[in-house]
Amino acid sequence: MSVLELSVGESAQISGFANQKAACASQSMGLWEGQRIQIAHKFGAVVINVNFRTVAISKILAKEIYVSL
Amino acid sequence: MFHCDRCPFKRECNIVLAGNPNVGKSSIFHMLSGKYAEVSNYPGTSVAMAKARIHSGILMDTPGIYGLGDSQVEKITKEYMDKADVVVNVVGALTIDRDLFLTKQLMEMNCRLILVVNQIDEAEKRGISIDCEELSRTLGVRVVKTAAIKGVGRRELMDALQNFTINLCAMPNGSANVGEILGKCIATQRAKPCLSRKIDGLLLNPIVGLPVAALVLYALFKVLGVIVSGHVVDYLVSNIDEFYVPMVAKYTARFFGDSFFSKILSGEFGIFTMVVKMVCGILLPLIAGFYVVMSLLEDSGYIPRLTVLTNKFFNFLGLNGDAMIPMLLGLGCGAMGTISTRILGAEKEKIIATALVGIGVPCAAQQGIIIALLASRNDAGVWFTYVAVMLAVTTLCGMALNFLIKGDNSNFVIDIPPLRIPSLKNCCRKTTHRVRDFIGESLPIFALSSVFITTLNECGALRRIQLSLSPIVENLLHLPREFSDIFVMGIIRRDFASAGVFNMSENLLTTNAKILTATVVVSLFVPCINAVVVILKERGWRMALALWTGAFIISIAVGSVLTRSLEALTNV
Repeated sequence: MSVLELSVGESAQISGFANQKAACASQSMGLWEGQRIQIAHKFGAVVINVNFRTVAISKILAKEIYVSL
Repeated sequence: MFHCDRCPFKRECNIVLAGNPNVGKSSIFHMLSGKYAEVSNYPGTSVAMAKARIHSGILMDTPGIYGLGDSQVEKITKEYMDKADVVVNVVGALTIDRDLFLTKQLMEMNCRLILVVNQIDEAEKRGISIDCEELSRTLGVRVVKTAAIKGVGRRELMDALQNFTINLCAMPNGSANVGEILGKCIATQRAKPCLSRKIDGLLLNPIVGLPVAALVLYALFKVLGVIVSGHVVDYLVSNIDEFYVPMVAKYTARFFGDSFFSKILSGEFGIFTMVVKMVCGILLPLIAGFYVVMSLLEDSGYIPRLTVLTNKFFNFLGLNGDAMIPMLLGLGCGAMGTISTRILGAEKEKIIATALVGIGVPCAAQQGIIIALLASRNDAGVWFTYVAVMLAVTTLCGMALNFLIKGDNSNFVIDIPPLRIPSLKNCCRKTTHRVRDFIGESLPIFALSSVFITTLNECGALRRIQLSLSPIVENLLHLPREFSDIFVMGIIRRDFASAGVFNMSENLLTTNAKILTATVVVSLFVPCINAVVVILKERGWRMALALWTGAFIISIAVGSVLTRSLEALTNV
């Protein structure tokens, strides 16, 4: 499943990326495979809590990041 | 003295500060050099390179980058790193898991690195400890902890820079992966609940977030329109008109009689009369007030939240939330807004953002005057009409450009920094520098414009321009013929034209319809000369010409439709 399919408050682990472009964009923001993330909001963009940081990504990119619960 | 060990002539060494956005590079730059660099709590504050001399070395502050990719900012920063003798890679203590991605890339480039872990105080507050010695062993580089905003770690960093040749005997160890490094070096002793995340729960929620955004806009209107304009500007303008202008006119008449030189100094468009009144009486208090409010917003970290809330809206315009940064910097100055379009990932986005900054985003000085002008009518309808028209025009332009320009959009990715209580010291410093920059930049242009317009007036050319523009001004816009002077001023600087409208509002623009039309036309009018120069440099002459012509046509067309609609409404 993708990050976009997660509900607000739900946590998951990043399991992969749909393509190289998505992997690069995500990794530059510190989102790697194996990292645990939590969805904070989904209005306008998908807001993710990861470690001590909060990152907002577009819904298109959220669709390209795969996670496992 | 910092000397380069690579160079046999012991030349000055180049020290480049590099790192991700919003990790505190500019704070480090200020801490080391004492030279002012603008510091804010949102990614993308620095859009240009800053340089300073420290102990015979050259310290360079670069714009923040997420990686060494192909974007314009990344390429420029990479060029500076290639020339660097030592790269001071700044990472944020709270964002180290993200920032080490760039560190790894710098190591792969064989850069000579010193790693600075900044914002260490904030990490400690949250119960996060970073083992810098282990980090140094793992990476093979010198690691220094700092809290630059408080000056913590300055001596250690200076020592590291002075001894960097010794440290660099060992090559950085690029083999460890970021996950391993984090596992070894970071320990969370006690997870403290983060208040910022709780507030985000409200600010990023559209039901609360959008009314808060409206409230922020209203507060800006109240501060500028009621407090600054209603009290400070009124007081200054009335005193300038009552005491200062007659005094200057009296003395210039005594020394220079009714000569042309006297007109240049103290005539209707004189340097010591009109320019002083516009700059000191109208613009200065308004832009100072505007910058104080903006500094508070920037330092609090509210702007990136606004970026997330507006992402959906920007998507309609062929942009994404990242475009909020050029728009916001454009609210300060159009030229700066245009330069900051470099942070956008796709060429299409850069073109659209440049066009929207050029057409629909009034600069700080202009906004101050517009708010003051609209607030003086004491009619909420006037204010709402202005905002609605400007939003509608900007949206339609963006949608049209999105339809016409082919190309992909970049991914929207933004780091949301923690909310912070703004530092009064930083706000005052930032406002002082911005106001000083504004005066330094605008005063000579205003003075030259005043000489130019006085010359046109004295040789009768202004009258001819008024007559030739009268079909547009009188027939299309239904404004007084004198409004043609505003066009001449607006070509030079839009804030100059807005100040002209403010002056004219006292006696010539008497109705709400006329004020609104004049304000909208001036807001949408052609970009200032300095903005055109930047557009030429960034996007080429075709874009500059198209934007200039397009803005002129749009401002007249919108003004013409608006004036007729308002007149029809008034008659109903």
